[in-house]
Amino acid sequence: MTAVPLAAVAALALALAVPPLVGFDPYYLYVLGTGWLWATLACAWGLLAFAGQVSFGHAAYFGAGAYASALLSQSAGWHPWLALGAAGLVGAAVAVPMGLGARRLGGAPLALATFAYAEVCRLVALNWTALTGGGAGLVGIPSLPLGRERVGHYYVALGVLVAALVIVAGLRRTPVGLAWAAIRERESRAELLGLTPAPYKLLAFACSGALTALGGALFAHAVRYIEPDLVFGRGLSLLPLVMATFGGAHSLLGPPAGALMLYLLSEVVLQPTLPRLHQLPYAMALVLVVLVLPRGLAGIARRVEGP
Amino acid sequence: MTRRPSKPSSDLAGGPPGPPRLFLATLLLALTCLGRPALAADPILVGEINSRTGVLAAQGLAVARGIRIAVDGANARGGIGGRPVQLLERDDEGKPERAIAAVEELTARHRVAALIGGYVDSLVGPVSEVAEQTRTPYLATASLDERLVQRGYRYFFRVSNLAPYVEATVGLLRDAVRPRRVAILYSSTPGAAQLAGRQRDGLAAAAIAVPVFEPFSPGLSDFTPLLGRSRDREIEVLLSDAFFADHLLIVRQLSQGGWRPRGFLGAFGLEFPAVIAELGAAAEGLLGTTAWQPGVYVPAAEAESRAFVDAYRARFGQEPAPLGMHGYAAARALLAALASAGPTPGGESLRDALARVDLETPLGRVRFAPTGDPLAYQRVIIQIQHGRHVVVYPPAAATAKLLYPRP
Amino acid sequence: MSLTTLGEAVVAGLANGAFYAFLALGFVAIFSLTRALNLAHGELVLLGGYVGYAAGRAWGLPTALLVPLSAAALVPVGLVWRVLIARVREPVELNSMVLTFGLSLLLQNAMLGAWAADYRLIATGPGAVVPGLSTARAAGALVALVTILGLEIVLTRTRWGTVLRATSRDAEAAALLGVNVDRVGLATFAVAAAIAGAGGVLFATVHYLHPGGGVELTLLAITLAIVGQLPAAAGRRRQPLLGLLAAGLAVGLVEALTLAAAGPRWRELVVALSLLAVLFAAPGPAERGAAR
Repeated sequence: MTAVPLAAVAALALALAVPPLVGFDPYYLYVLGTGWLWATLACAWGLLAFAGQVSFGHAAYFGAGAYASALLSQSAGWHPWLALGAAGLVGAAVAVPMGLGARRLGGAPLALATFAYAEVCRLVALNWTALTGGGAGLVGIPSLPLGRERVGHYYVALGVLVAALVIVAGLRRTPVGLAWAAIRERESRAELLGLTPAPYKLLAFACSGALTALGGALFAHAVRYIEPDLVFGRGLSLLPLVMATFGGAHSLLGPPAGALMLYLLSEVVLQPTLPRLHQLPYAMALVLVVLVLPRGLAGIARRVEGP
Repeated sequence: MTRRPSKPSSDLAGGPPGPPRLFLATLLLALTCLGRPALAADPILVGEINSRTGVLAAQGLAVARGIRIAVDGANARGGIGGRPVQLLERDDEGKPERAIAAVEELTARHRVAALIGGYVDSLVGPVSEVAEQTRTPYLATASLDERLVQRGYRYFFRVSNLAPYVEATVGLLRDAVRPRRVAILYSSTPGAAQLAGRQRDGLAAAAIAVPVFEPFSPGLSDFTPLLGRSRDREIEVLLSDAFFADHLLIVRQLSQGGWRPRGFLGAFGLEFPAVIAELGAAAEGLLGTTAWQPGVYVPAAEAESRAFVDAYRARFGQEPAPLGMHGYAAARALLAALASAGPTPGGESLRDALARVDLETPLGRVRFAPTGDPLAYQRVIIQIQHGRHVVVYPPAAATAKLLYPRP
Repeated sequence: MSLTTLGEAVVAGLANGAFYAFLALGFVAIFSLTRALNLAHGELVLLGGYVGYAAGRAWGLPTALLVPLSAAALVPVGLVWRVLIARVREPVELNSMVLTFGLSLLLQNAMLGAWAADYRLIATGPGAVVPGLSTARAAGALVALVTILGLEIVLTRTRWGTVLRATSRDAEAAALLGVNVDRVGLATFAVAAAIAGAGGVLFATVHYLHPGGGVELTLLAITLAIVGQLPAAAGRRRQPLLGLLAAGLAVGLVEALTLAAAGPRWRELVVALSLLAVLFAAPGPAERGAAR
């Protein structure tokens, strides 16, 4: 059991201190808060990837969390915090069918199944107009009672990210984490050694789904207007994958670091300076990192560390 | 590319120190990059959010250019109280999350006095939420969703709404065409879905049956089975509450298939010159709606309309699409409000000034209800005849006779 | 639903399905050879369409000539793709996705810059072969069938096809047996890009071109590639492309029948559910991890 690196503690302290440092400027808080949200999504996706399951359909859990929290707080009158928590559980529940499906499928077929499943969720939200408002979506979702808007959202998003990292780091250190790594590396051999992969895969899906759903719920309360294409959109399935791979899919801090870097690069550096062409440097960054660092940014550390 | 046996990951052992350092570095880098822009005291800042890329780029660009012409015109005449108006242009890429990011940036970072722009409600809605929270008046250039004016928000205004679309389309069918059976196909966006519902109600009141009433998601490319069902039900008029791209496909498939309805009425997008350019002869007889059609239909301010067309042609090298007038008229209304809102326009004072606006524009009279809805927005029915758009309904505005059945 | 409509739906569905399989060919070729997932596939197809559109407008060429023109024009692009994708290292699937995602953004922006955001169509003659099946769709389906069956024959009956299949299975072994693996790779990517280009022109005769439209095409290709491979995973490796064709026909048919019977509201849902059903019902050993 190694001590938590000093750098990680310093990073956390800095993150906590940012709001007063930027004078509570709502724009910076919004940008960083959204950055924490993407980092959480990438971390959740990375958790599943660590267990060897590649998902093309994380939008299912994000959207489920968003709609669950929105509907519970808006139509059922629940307190937003309660709705948020419930949304996490809904996310886990929605992930269960895929977790069970992972017993039969793996690799590319499983990835495609997760994608189809996310589409099914989106279409259910789109067509079940009586419940979800259909294509028109939900308007005027209550916001979380957080006082001075942006600061509250900033800390909540940061809190969710830290919680996600703690959970994931913790799980990785336990025998569960070892089982996940074994399943990822060589499932058949793990089975020969007496491991039943099924419950571990299910657990990975449930955890990943719950964390992603929390992110979706946070989003719903921040933006206060959701519709199927927004919260079940394919970008939500693709971007965490890209961000996590960019950062180093199987490492702990790679996915959130990758997410934060890509998001901030795009929002803060590229969009303001190159409004028409902002996608170009972003795309080049992706291409170059993949070609130079096949293990993502986490691979830098590996190179530095040596064999 | 063969598979090499993979090395066991070293990240089981607590992870290398790289990523946390990277985290820290990223954060520091971000903070250094977030340099505060100097707040210029002189120009009045107006945030403009439209789709410049993505599926709605053609429409968004038309609106943005209309806005640009109006603002440039105002600046050429000395600006507002001697201060130039500076448009901060942002691209929402047709995606709501980008629209949200844009409005957050414009309101919090640049502290714009007002916001303008927008084409579909899935983009206008989220922007209006942030505008309300930050108390920044937002004038939407195209919006239909009725719920947006039912929230009791004070900072949301728009120059278009749903009812005129319903009146024009249902009116045409009820008064001039009188079919027995109509099919309604609609895109599953909030505005189109509401329009379709109202149309069905209106047609039912006029004793016109709607045996086919179908939503579809964008991305559908083969409408022929659907058109087959319409043929089976003996549909006479096809109402397409869909967007420009969908019309292209449906019309082309109608011309390639075995069945032609007696009438085709598209609620959005058929007023664009590009329809005739891309469809050619297949566009003959198509019906659409418009609020302004250069050279054909101008509700008011004819001289200004001609000036707009000239300025647009000079600046952009092509004829303006009708949607550009939404941008232009909205911008003129906003500029009028800025002028009457006092020395430092913004927030509450600008909001009140907008609420008081009463302006004749080529789009008609721009005046807002307390909810932000426009009071005098109108749409008329146009038809493509001999490669040109003409107005065929209502009779008071018509410039040509309706050709029905479709030639 | 009348019998006529049912018949038309079946014909349209099969024609569309064959064309879908054709559109996916380029993706499948690259996937089979290198395990790389080319997320820029849709953009390559669109690029072919745009090149055809531009040539047609500039030189007034008939649409039939545009097809081979675009195919040829895309070959250099395919070679560039080959160079880049060959450099991708483990994990190949994930890394290739990120790489090609970046490439897709570059292509999208290039097309947006060259042809703006307008919707473009490539003109075709009016009229229908059968009611419900326009000439354009029939032509697309015909090209699709001829190409797929032709390639199938090449793959299974010729020496070149054997070489290609062997290299897909085990490039190292093939190299040891004297196969010039590099040339095989270049040829494969060239052909994949050419087919994508040809597909783009035909696509523009039945749909429209828009720089943002690549995602749908890529998703279709991924779906068909994976579903088409299911019989192979179950141990029946003899007809790789026929699996793809069958998958395409199935998707096209399900889509068309749903449209005709229930309407567009249900189209995507039925297709997605059918997909799930097929994936979970497919017999054979479940694939383990990333191993093929």
